[in-house]
Amino acid sequence: MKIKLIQSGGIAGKKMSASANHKFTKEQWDDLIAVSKKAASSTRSIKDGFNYVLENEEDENSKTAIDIQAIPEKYDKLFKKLFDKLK
Amino acid sequence: MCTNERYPFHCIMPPYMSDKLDQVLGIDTETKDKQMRSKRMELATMKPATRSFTLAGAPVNKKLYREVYDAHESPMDIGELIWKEGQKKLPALKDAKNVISAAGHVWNFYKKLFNRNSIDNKGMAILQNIRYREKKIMPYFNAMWDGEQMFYGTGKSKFTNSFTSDLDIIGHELTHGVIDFEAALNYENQSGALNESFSDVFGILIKQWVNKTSARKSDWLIGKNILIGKNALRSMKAPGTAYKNDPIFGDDPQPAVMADFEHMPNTEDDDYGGVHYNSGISNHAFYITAFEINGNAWEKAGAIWYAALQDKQLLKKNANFKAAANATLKKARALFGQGSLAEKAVNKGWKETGVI
Repeated sequence: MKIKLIQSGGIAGKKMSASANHKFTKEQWDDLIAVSKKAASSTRSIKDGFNYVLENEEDENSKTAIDIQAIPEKYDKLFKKLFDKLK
Repeated sequence: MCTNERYPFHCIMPPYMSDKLDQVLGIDTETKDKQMRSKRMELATMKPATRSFTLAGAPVNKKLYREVYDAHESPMDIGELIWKEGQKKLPALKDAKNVISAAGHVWNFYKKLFNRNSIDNKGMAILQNIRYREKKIMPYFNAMWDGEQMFYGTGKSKFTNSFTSDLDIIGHELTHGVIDFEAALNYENQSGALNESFSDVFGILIKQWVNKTSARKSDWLIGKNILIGKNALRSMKAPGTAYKNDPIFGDDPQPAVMADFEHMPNTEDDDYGGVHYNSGISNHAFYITAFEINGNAWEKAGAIWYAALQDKQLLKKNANFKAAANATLKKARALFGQGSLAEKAVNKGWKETGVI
């Protein structure tokens, strides 16, 4: 599966994104989204925080706003790779 | 000995020991992090007045009161109090020294120029967390205000310095707090861009005031020290030119005039309608105003913008650029007179940016 991480906001305010391939089963992907999905409007009181959106590039309806801190540690390697590629 | 009075459980023992204890007690890190995040969201979504009460729980400070926490390059739940007001010996960390000094300047700026007692005008403690990360695996290239305190990333790389390196950035972030207690501009679309812009305005004014730089001598750059080289994060004088071919950020996308307004969706992946993009327009209006008035920008232009920020009738939570223009024009007249140079300068600023 090709997944895309989009970052917007931050004090610099520049929108950046990165993609990476990762072997997810549908269940794994659904689980990841379920644990990391951000509650609606939960962070608008935070000013200059980063906003993150995760997307399965093969499914254009899969864009999900996520809480990056909720991503399980088992995906650290994948997310490190995505962070490093953000442009 | 634990010195974290706010969150004593954060530092009662070193992180590796508390992690071990959590394992023994069956508390997993994710659950613990979730609880912390949930608490933080709860605080962040409270109304300012409630937050102030929550925060304080302490007598109103009549003088400057600061605390600095070290997050040890981790998410905030292991922050450790490393300095508080009254301690003569400053911490060894440069980031700590930077934020202590900058918060002092910010507090003094608001007190001396506008008789404002801290962020909430009721003596709120200025709490700052340095060396913060959202995820342990990644340096945090950012500074933010979470509704009750500040978080700064070290964010050091071959292209960036620490996010504590600029007084205007620290002034910007703490001004987000001031805005929360005044116009409380919604953080989306044009009101969000105004929220960003007021923060830039007072961020640069604090820097100019401390360095005694007049409007015409200032470079009007925000975050000049963060990006290594000639780039800065934003230019109020010429939005859209602060950086070019930057290895991290690419090219500066800020518009300077309404004709170039970025129509972006009000979503997480588009910065809630491009609040950091379109702030370039109102930033530029302020720059033109200050340049036209001449002299020190904090004296007249700053006073006008501060008065507008305090007027919740003229500047409602969902205010757009036109409402900000109207508010600042009215305040210019009230403070300096109908037909005054200040009023003409404000008018010119909003006209040249195409807002009115």
